[in-house]
Amino acid sequence: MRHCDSALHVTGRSQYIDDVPAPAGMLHGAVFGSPVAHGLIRKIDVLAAREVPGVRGVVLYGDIPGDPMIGALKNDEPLFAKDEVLFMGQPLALIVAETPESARRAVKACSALIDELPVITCPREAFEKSELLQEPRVFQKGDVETSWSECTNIVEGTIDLAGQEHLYLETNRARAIPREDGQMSVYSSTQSPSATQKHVAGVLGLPMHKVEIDVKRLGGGFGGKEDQATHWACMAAVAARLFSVPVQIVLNRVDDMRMTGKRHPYIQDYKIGLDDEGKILAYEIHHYQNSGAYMDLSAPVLERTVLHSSNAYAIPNVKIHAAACRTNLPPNTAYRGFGGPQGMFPLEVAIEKAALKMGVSADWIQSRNLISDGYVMHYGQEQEACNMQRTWDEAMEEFDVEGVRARVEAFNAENKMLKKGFAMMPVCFGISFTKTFLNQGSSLVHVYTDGSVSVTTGGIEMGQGISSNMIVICSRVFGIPPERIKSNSTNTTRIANISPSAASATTDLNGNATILACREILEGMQKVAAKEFGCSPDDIMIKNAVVHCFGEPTEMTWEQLVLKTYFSRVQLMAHGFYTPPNVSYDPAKNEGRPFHYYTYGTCMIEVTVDCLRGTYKLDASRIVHDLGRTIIPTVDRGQIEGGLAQGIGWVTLEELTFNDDGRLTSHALSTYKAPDAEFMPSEMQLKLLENVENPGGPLGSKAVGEPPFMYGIAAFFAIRNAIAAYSDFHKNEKIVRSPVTPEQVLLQLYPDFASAPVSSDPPQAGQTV
Amino acid sequence: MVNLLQKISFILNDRLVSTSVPAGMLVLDFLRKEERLTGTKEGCKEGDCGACSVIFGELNEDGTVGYTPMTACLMPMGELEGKHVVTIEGLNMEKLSPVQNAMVDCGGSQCGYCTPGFVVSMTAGLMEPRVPLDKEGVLYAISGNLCRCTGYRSIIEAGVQAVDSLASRLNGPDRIKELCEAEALPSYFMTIPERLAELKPAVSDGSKIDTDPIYLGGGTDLYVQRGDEIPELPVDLLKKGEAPAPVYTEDGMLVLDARMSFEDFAMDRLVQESIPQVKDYNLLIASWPVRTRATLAGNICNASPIADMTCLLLALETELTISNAGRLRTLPLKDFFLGYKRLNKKPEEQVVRISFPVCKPQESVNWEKVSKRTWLDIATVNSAARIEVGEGVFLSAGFALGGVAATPLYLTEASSYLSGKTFEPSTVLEMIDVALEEFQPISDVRGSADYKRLLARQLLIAHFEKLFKDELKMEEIYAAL
Repeated sequence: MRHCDSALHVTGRSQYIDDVPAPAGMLHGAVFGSPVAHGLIRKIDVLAAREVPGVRGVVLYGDIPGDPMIGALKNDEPLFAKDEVLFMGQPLALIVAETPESARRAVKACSALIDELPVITCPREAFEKSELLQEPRVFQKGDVETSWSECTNIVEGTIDLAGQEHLYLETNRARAIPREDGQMSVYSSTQSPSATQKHVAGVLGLPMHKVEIDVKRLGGGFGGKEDQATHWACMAAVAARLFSVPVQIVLNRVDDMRMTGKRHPYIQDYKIGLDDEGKILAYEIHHYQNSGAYMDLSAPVLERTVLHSSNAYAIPNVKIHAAACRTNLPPNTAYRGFGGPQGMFPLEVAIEKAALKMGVSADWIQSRNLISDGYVMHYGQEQEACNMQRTWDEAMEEFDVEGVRARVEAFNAENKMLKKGFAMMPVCFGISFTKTFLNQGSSLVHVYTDGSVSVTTGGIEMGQGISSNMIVICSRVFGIPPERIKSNSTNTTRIANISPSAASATTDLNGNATILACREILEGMQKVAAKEFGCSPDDIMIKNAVVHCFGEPTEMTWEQLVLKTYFSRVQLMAHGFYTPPNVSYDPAKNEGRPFHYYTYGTCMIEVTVDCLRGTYKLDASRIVHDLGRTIIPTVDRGQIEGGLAQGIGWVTLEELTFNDDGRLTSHALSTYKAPDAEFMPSEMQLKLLENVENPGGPLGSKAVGEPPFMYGIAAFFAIRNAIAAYSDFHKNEKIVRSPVTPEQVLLQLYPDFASAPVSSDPPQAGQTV
Repeated sequence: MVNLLQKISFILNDRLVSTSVPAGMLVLDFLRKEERLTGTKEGCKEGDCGACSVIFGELNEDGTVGYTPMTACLMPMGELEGKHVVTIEGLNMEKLSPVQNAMVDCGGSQCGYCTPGFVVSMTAGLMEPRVPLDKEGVLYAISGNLCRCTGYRSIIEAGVQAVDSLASRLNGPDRIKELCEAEALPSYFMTIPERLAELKPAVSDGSKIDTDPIYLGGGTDLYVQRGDEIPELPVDLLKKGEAPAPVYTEDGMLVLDARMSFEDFAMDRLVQESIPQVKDYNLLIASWPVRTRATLAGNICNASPIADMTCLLLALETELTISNAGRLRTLPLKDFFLGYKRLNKKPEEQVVRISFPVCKPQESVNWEKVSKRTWLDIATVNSAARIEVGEGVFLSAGFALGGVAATPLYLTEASSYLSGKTFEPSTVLEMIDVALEEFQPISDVRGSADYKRLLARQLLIAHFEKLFKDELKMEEIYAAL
C-alpha cells in the first residue's frame, strides 16, 4: 500500500480548490491589508478601487451580515478591521471582481488613512508594557529556589528563538457557493472544517446547519490552516452572500505570508543547575511568547510549551513562567509541534551551556537524565511503557556514536578551516489535544451493494496520509483489498463537530472511530453469514474478500455477503465515535493526565562547517523512532523525514525578519528560504523501534505527525559544536539566537572581527533586489 | 489602451493551439485559466518553487527538438510561437511513466501540490542528454523544485530509481525516441519535430505599437518585480525570433550575444576554456529552469547589487556593446552602473554584445558566492577574482564584490594594489585591508552590515584558497583572521 492519492498526484489529476472548474458567474476576491502595523483607522478609501474595470464591489466591516468577530478561542478578531489595526497586512477590505487580476489591481488603488500608534514586535517589551493576552502563569514542581544551593554547576542565559513560516505549497484559499434558502457551501483549504463552519455561520448570521464545509485535500497545512484558513472562507462566504454568486479567494504567496500568523517566536530566560554527576537538579525557564496581535491559538500553544519544557528529562525541581505577549505581528498560530519545540529548545541550550562549563559533552548530560517508567512529569502524568532510554541506547549503539565522536575529533585536529560537529536530540512528545474535549473522532462508513466501500471521517487529508490510513484500517477490519475502499472528502454535513486535524492525533481519533464503524457493519454481516452457514457469528471472518467459516474459505465472496446483508435488511452503513479513555487535564493547575500516550525517539545529526565562508553542510541525520506498529511504512517514514526537514529548517535557514515598524521583510520565497533537496543531509538513516505495541493507537500504531519535527533541533547544536572547534564564541555569546544561519555562523567563527566604522553617508536605498 | 492581443500558434502537449492573447501573458495563467490544465500549480509566481514547471521544446537546426524545463510563471506567451509546450498532462500515458511510478513507489508525494512539478523536472532531466543519469543528475533536474512535506529523501530516491530503470536503454543519439520506446514519454513526442517544422510563424499584422515597449529577455526578474502589470503592457520579447549568436573570439576577446542564457553560458566550450570552473558556479546560481531563461544582459541591466553573472563579468574586465537603433557604442561594464538601479544607458538603448579578454595561461579566475541556502538563493555577498601571476609576483588582478554597495562593485584600489607585488601571504593581507576601505555595506533582509563586511573579506581570501592553495602559505593568512 502506498499513499492512496499518489497516482493522482504524479499525473497532476488530483484537484485542489482552484482546480475544480469554476461555477458560472464566479467572482474573485482580493484582500486589502493594512499598510501599517498599529494605528487608529480614520478612513479606508476604496473609491478608486471601485472604478477599476472588472470590479464588482467592495466588502467592508459594515457589510458583514452577522457577527463580524472571529477567533479560535475567543472572538477577538474582526474579519475586517474597523477602528484599529493591530498588525501590518490585517484585512481592511475585500475587493470583489470578475478576475483575480482585476481584484488585485483594485487592491493597489485602495488607501487608508491611519493615525499610527507605537509598534511592538518584541515579546519582552510587550510583557514589560503589560500587553498580555492572558494572565502570566507559573508552574512549579519541587522547589527550585531552595535547590540552587545544592547545585554545583549553575548556568543561566537568554534565548531569542525565531518563528517559522508554514510555507504550505498551496496558499490559503476558499470558494463559497450560495445555495437555496440562504444556505452556503464553502470549499475551504482548512484543517478545521467545523471551526470554519461555525465562523462562516457566525459572519452570515446563520445556524450552523445551513453552512456546509467540504474539504477534499490540502496542499499542505502544518498547522497554518488550523485556524487561519477561517478568515478567507468567511470573507468568500460574506461576498457570496452579498453578490449572490460564487466567490473564490486564493491568496497569492506574498499576501499569504504577510497576512497569516506563523510559529510563535519566543524570548526565553533559562537557569539550570546540576550536580557533579551530571544530574539536573533544577531548571527554571521564563517563556515570553510572541503571540502576535490576537489570541488565535496562542494560549494552548503556550500550554504545550509548558508541558514540554522538560522534554525527555527527569528533573526534580522545575519552575516554568509563561506569558502570552501581544505584539503587532500577525496572530501567531499552530505549527507542527504546537509550542512543544519552543518548550524543548531552551533546555537543550541550557544543557549545552552547562556541558561547556563542566567540561563534558552535552550528550553526557543528556544521557544521565532521561526519563523512564514511573517517572512523574512536572504536570503529574506518570510515564508508562516509556521507550525513551531504549531509543537512546539503540541510537548510541546502532550509529556508533562513540566512533563518530572519535572521527569528528580526529577530523577537527587535522583540518584548520573545515570543522565537523554532531549533536544528539532525545524527544518525548505527548499525544492528545491538551484541550481534552477535542479528543474525539468520528467516522462514517458506507458499504454499497456492489461491495465497494466509502469512508468519511473528521480527518483532513493534507498530505500526511490520513486517507490512506483510513483505507488500510477499513481494509484490515473488513478483510477486503484496499482497492475496494475510497476515502471521501471531509464534510460537515456528513460528520458533525469535527476536531481539527492537528496534534498528531488525526489517525488515532478517526482511525479508532473507523474501526468501531467497520466493526458495527461487520457484526451485522457476520450474523447474516452465520445464518447461512449454520454457525455462530464469531466463527465468521472475511479474508481477502472471501467469507471464511471456522477459518476455512467458503464459496461466498465479500460482494455476495454484502448483497445478502442488504436483502436481509441489515445495515451496511455505520457511524463510529471514539474518544481516548483516561485523558484529563486541568490547565489552571497544570495537573492531570493530558496525554493518551507518548512518542519517543532519538536523533543524531552530523555537520561540516566551512570556517572560511561560514557555510555548512548537513552530512547525516540518524534517527531511532518509536512508531508502535506502522500502518503504512512509506507514509510513516514520510512523516518522520518531512518533520525532520521542517525542524532542521526552523533552526537553520528559515529566518523571518520583521523590521521595527512591523513589516515582514522576508515575505516571499526569494527571501524566505526553506530546505531544498540539496540542503538536506546526504545520508538520512531511520531505524524504527522493533516489537513495540501501542494499545492506544489504531492497529497498534503511534501518532507520528509532530514528534519528528524536534529531531531537527540537533542540527542547531551540531553546527554550534563544529563552530566551537574553531572559535571560542561561547565566551562572548550574550544571547543564543536561532536560526543559526550562515550569518550567525560566520559572526561566531570570527567574534572579534571589528565592526565597521559607521558611515556618515545616509544608507543607500535597497542594496538587495 | 492598445490592443495587445497577438495570434500565437504552438503545440501544447499533443495538440495544436492557435490563440490570441497578450504576448506578455504568463504561460502559467494561460494553462490554468484558458486550457484548464490544472496539473500545473501556482506556488509562488516568482520561479522559486517549481510547482508550475513545464517543458519547453524548440526545433533545432538539425531537425530534432531540444527540450528544457521552464517555470511557467516566468514565461511569456509570446515566446511559445512555433514551440512545443509540455505540461504534466502531456506526460501522462495509459500506465504511469517510470518517473511517476517511482514517485508513487518511494512515497515521494504527500500533499501532492508540488508533485507534478517534480515529475516534470525529473522527466526534463531524462530528456536532456547532458544531465547525468545518477543522483547528481536527479538533483540537477530538481534544483528548482520545493517540497514542504517529504524531506526530499524519498523524491531523490524516486528519481534515482527511475534513472536506474532506464539508464541501460538511454545510450543512443536520439534520447526522445529512446524514452518513447521505454514508455517514459508518450509516443506522440516522435511526431513533434515534423509538426513543429510545419508550423508556419504567424504573420505579423504590421500594426506598430506606438507606446514604448518593455524589453523582456528571460523575464526572470521583470516578472517577479512587475508580474501584475506586464500582461497589460506592450512587450518586446528579445528571446523571440533569431536565436542568440554563438560565442566567438575576436582580437583576443570572447564575444557573447547579450541574450545568451546563464545555462548556455556555463555550457559553452569557449567560455569553459576561459573560466574552467564555470559549471560549478552554475550550480550556485538560481535553478536549472531559471538559468535556462535568465540572460546575461538581463542580469546586467537589472543592476541588482548582488547580480551573480555581473559580478563575475566585472572581474573579467568586460565590455558592453550598446545599440541605439543600430548605432553601436562600447562601454566598460564597470562604468555602466551610476547608482542604485541607475545605468549609463538610455531607455531605448539595448545591450547587444558582451565581451571580455580570453583568459591568459598565467591568469586564474574564481567566483565565490554565499547565500543562506546553497542552491536557488540570492547571494548575500558574491565576489569574483581574476589574478595574473608570474615570476613570484602578482602581475595584475581584478576583483568584484556584490551585495556590499548600491551597485555591483569593481574594487579599483584593491585590484591595482596587487600589480607588481610579491606573491606572498602578506601581500594578500595588505590587499584585503585596501579592499575593506572600498565599500560600506548596509543591513537588509540578506544580512547585517557587519556580516556582509566580514563575508566580503572571507570571500576575497577564498579566491586565494581556491586558486593558490598549493603555492601560497594559506595558514599564514588564516592565522591573521
